[in-house]
Formats: sequence, C-alpha cells, structure tokens
Amino acid sequence: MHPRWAASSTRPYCNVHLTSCLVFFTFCVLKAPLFVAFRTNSAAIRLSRRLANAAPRRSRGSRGFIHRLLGTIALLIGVCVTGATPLHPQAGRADSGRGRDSPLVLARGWSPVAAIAMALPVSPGTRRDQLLADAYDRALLAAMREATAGMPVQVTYGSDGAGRYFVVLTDAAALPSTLDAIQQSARAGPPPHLVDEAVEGITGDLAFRANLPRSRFEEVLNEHLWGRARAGTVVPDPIPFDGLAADARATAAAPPWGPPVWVLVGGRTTGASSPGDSAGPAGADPADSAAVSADGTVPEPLYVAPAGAARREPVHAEVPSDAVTRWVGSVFRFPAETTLIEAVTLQLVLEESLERQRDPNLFELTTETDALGRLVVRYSTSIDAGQGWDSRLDATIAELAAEPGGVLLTQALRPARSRWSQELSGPAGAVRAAARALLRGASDKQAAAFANSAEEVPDAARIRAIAAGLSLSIRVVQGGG
Amino acid sequence: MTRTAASGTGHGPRRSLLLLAIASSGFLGPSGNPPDTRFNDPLVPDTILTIPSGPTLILEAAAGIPAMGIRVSVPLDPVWPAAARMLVEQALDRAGNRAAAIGAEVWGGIQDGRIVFHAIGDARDSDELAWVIRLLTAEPGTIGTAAAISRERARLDQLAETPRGRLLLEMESRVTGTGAGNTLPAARAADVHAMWQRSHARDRMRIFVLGDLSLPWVLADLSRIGAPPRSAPEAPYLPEPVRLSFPESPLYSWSAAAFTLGPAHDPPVLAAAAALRAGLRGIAAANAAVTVLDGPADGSGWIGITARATRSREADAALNSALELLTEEGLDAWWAQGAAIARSDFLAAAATPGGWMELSDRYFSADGTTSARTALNRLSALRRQDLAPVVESFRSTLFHPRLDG
Repeated sequence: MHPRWAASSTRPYCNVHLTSCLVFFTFCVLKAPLFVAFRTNSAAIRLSRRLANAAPRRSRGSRGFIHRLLGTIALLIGVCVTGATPLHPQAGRADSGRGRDSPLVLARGWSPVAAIAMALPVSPGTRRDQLLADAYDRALLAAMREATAGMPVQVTYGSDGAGRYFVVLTDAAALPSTLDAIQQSARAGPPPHLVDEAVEGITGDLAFRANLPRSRFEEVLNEHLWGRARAGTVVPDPIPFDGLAADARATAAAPPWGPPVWVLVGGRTTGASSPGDSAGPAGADPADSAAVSADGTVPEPLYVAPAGAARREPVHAEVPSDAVTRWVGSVFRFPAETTLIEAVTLQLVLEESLERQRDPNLFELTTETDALGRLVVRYSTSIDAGQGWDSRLDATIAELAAEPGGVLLTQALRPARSRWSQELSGPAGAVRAAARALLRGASDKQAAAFANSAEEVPDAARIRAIAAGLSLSIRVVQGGG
Repeated sequence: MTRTAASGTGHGPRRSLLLLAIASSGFLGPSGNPPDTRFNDPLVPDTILTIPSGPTLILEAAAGIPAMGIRVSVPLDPVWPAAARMLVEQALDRAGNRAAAIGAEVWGGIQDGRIVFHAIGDARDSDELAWVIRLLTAEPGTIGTAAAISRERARLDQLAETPRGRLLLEMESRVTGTGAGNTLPAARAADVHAMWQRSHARDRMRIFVLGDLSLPWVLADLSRIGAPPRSAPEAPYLPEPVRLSFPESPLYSWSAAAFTLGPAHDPPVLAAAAALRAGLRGIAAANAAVTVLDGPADGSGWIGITARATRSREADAALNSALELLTEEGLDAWWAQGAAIARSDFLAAAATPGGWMELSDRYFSADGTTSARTALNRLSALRRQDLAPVVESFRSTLFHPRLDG
C-alpha cells in the first residue's frame, strides 16, 4: 500500500459516493446505473449490473475494428520506438461494476453546480487521424450544444496530452435530464451536417495556419511523441486533406477510440435531494462516511511509470526554420513508480519554477503529463535567447533535484499545491481530473482518489527524488540552429 | 461590550472577541436565513453576522472544499470609478508578492457598484490569505500614488483616442454626474485616500468567506480590517474635471447610443442584454460594423452601441436597426436564447470559487430575502412579461453621444 494514498479521516468527502439516496437517484432518475463497488454483495450493485448488461449497446462495424486495431498497433510501435511508458490499466475498469455509459459519481455536497465529463483518449494516430478526431470533437460539441439548447447548461471542450474532455456544467436540479441529453447525443454521434461544418472549419483554419512555423513544430513534435519520427532533421509532410469530409463522416459513424469515460459531480440542492440533506453541515455527507468505513480500503497507487523502465539515449531533432521565434519541445521520462499525483505535482512545481525566471525573451511556456506518462515541456523564445532557456530548463530540474534542497523547490511547492487545490475545488476541475485518471486505466477508486488528491500532494523530499530521476527522452528544436 | 471588543488591539481583546463570538453569535446581528435553508444549499450563505460598528461577515462553510476564498466588498463612495481604480491598483501592488508566494489568486476591481477584492488559495493557507486580504484593504500609502495617477491619466487619454473609448467615457461621466464625457474629474493622492476612508469604513464592509472554516477564525482574522467606522460621513467631493480632446476620426463615421436596461444583474436585465447581443449578431448591416460594450461596473447597467461606416447615413441606419431590437417585439425573438445564455453564464460563474463568492455577494441582502439561489430561480422562471420594464428603462435612459470632434 502506498503510504501517500492513505485515506484521510478528516476528509470523508474524499471518496466515492455510494448511498441509498444515490442508488434511488441512479435507478429511478438517471436510468443508467452508476457504481463504485464498495460493497460487492450489495443487491443494488447486482441490480445495477443487470441494468448495465441489459442496456442497448452500439454495434461496431469492421471499419471501427480496423481503426482500433491500427490505433493500437501505432501506439505499441510508438512505445517500442521511444522507450516510453505505456498506459497502465491497473486493477481498474473491470472492478468498477459500472456499465459502459454509467458515470463515476463523485460527491461534492458543497458544490453549487453539478458537472458531467465525457472523455475520450487522445488520438495516437497519424496527422490525418488527428484531424479526424478534431472534426469529430468539434461536431460532437456542436451536437451536444444543440441537444441542450434551452437547458440551464454550459458545454465546454478542452484537451491535453492525455485526453479530450467534454465538460458540462448544470444546475443540480437539471442534472438527470442534462445527463440523459448529453449521453443520447454522444451515443448517436454527431450528425453528418455538423461533421461537414466541422471539416469545413478545420480546413479553413489550416489553410491559414498549417504552414506557420508553430504548426509545423507541433506536427514534428507530435510525430516524435508517438514514435513515428527518427532523430535528425525532420521536414513535416503536407497535410492530407483529400477525402477528409468522407472519412470524417465514417469516423463519426464508427469512432475508433472505444467508449468514452463518464464522470459526474453532483451538488446537493433541493433539486437533487437526498436523505442526508437534512442532517449535518453542508458537505459533511454521512453517506460518504458510511461508504468509507464499510469498505475500509484505500486504492492502490496509480503509477504513470512502471518499475524498471529502461533508459535510452535521448533523441535530439532539429526542424529547419527561418522564423524569428525558436520553439523547443522537451520530453522527460519519470522515474519508476511515480504516481500520477506526484507527476502532476512535479509538473506544476517545474512550471512555477520556470515562471519565476520568466524574462521578456520567453514567449510561451506550457507543461503537461502526456498519455504515455511523460513530462512534456514546450516553450518558445526569441532566437537569441533560445539556447539560454534550454540550459535554464535543465538547470532548473537539476536545482529541484539538488540535495539538501534549494530555495527554488521551497518557493514553488506551495504555489503548485495551491493551484492543484483550486483546480480540484471546482466541479469542472474535479470531473476532468477523475476522467484523466480513468483514461489511464485507473479503477474508480483510484480516479476518485485522484480527483480528491488536494491533500495528497507529495512533500518536498519526494519531489526532489522524482526530479532527480527525470531523464530526457526527446528534444525537438525548431529555429536558431 | 461588542464595541470594545471590536475596536481593541492585542491578544486580550482578540481573545475576548473570540469568546464573544462563540457565546453570542445569536444576538450580535441578524442571521439572514430562516432555519430550513441554513445549510444544504450552497447558493444560500450559511451564516450572516453583522457586528455593530464592524463588517458584515458572511460565511459559506463548505466542509471539505480543498480551496478557500475570501471576498471583501465595500461601496463605491463616491461613485467615481477613476479614483476607485487607483485605489485598487495600489492595493494589488501591496498584496501581489504575498499572494504569489502562496500561489493565491488575487483580484481587485469594481463590480456592481462596489469595490471588490478577493483572494483564493489552498485551504491550508487560510492565515496567509487573511493576511493578503488585510494588505488589500489597508490604508493606501503615498508611495506609488503618483505612478497610479499617471497611469489613470494615460488610460483616459487612450480611451479618448478611439470612438468606442469615448463612448465609455460618456457613460462614465453619466455615472459620476460630471456632464459630458470629455470632462472627467482627475483624482489626486488626497482623493484616493479620502475615498478609502469613506468606502473602507469597517461598518460598510462586507466580507464573504468560503471554505472549511469556523466562525471564530473568521471573526479573529477579519473583523477588524479596513478604516475605522465613521458616524457621519461628509458629502462626497469631486475635484474640477479635466478636459479631454476627442479628435475626429479620419477614416470612418461613427454613430453611437447608450442606455441602461435596468440594474445590471437583475435577472430580466441579464437575459435582455444577452438577447440583445444575440440579436445583434443576427443583424446584417450593410457596409457597417455594429459593436456592443458594457459601461462602468457601477451596477446601473449602462450599455453602449457603436456603428461604424464610411458614410454617416450608413452608420446611422445601422445604429437604428440595432436599436429597433430594443422593443418588446424585437427582443421577444431572442428572449428564450438570451435567458438560456444568462442561465448558463450564471452556472459557469458558480462553478469557480471566485464566481461563487461573486454571485453570493451580488445577490446578498441583509434580511435574507434575496440570494444567489433566488436569482437563479428567477432566471429559470423568466416570462415574456418581464420584458416590459426592461424596454421602459431603455426608452427612458437612451441618449446619443457625439463621438466625433
């Protein structure tokens, strides 16, 4: 058992919501069973499974199968070539007992707003596959907005290195009808006219920006991230537009990414009342406490890097460019047995540390933990200062790893912790975090623990150890060579 | 007894304040919410405490929330946005470093006719957040005032350079009551300090705390911030205005209108403003560009519309077709969409700690008759009849400022 994942007795809300009221809510209102198996012999859970099995499933054609197969092969090749860490489907999804479309429910008694997240994995395919994924997402977002027009909801979309997230904010009173509308829209997929509009939009955008240096850099970095590029100088291929609309329609009819994951954060208001509403302070949900004490276990740690990941020589690639801006993408492998919360904390600490050294030569800086559990740092600088920032990034990591510990880590850890708390305090951030963990193959309990991990942020010593174990895997540089 | 505790300093009075708060929270001030709504609805504050000669404390005890937020709002008195902006700018300068050290989100500005600050951070940093709030509401010093005055003057000059900026100045001058938009009072250091003394008087302050915190902590850390309470405030003073030059636009003709649909955050007004924006997007004005901009955030809800064209008659025609939307029949076509947008904006705001506190503060009433929940309920139950007062407000406040020369 990983000590950092011990449940906090002072935060009973930090657990998955399983109550008699929720069971009632689930069966009578949502009509879509949702469960986390705290008590596996529960009659309610058995009923939930029966309902899940009885739910109509979409059949997928051979084309979808081929897409999935190709995607998997591409992913495996990428993993082999880069030596990257694959996703870790830990005990996971199979132990949840939820149906495929049944959301994981997180309790947030204090939240004034409910949120639903539907998440899909990032597309590991070629440039064209990614365009198809973009078109699908745009069209589905428009379809979801059409499906909820006139309802008190806000539908937003975002993506990161690990997934693509559709997040819906709604009034708790309208949660059942909103979930129903969103799930129907997702099951039906985007209609052809919206797919065509999306393709048209993407084509128009790319006509403007496809040949910009930044787009070319992103394209090359992406090829490296998925292991399709080799070291040395790389020239990106032209964008394959031919037949895009037809393929986008076919993708919308049979999406190759597998079923989405669903997460739901429910508020507690008059509209979604529960027996626990009338007792105790807001947020101190007696149902949560009961569920925790009945279960008495804490989830296994959710690792982003396995034990014994082999180190390889880093890949250095240069992209020719005559632009006045220099773009750099650096990919680092985490040391073995780094958990997701540790990876995210280190990412935030590194970002804070670099931001503190920001100067006018640094134009953009982003960090993320990608789908393969690697730390990706992107920045753009002026040509003159570019190499200085490369060494500054390496020196910052070295300083974070230094014993007995520098001022930088002390200064950056607190803001990083605060940012993570603020992220998880909103329902949108909580559902996104849980969805992110589920996409990595986390079990429901691991996902719920990650969405409630504000108190589980690792200490300075652990961050120092992880920083010391970071190893550069890929560095792509465009410009200034 | 309460007065002594509230104005005391040092550990003794502080301890007595704590004991007092624990023992007598029931009679220190009215609690705004009836017992049946005290908990279980996050859009209704849990505890409201009015300290005699002290601030109104509003506590939303969200047990288990990993972040915490503190919001302080004071009346904009006098209604002089320029001086308030300088006050806010100096406050943010004072607190910025301390907030950055703990990674807190800190914000200051004018909202709903009040000067507002908030600080949001990790729940474990509650004492530091209270410190940040104390810095934000502290007496403004003289250091930095000259720079703030220069920046404000530069801002006015910058606004005067563009027609849209001029329209904003026209609306601001309506708010301050100083006449035409090219004559606005220029604040000095003494004016900023006088505004702080008036607006930040402790008994005029409203403090909203969101988090897993106890009332004694709130009382101990936040009940004595701001300026001493004032028994009889003097009449507000506005200095002589400065005259700004509005140069003529060499390329385009501009036509403009400004009006208010009613109090800025009244649910029907929110829906009507959203409907107006949606309707304007659907207007195809030949050879003209129509844009909407919000007026000063004093709560009176001023909205400006500009139309730009190469010929003045085209600009006038575009503006007139935009204003035709502001009838009951014109807005009716966009009413449902406007109401849906207003509701979803409300929900998006409530989904963040900062927005949640903003909504609770905005719709707060001491007697508990209104809250963010009642506002959301009204937004959800809007009817076409709610349009009539909005249109009436438009008709009675519409004016056409001249933006050229």
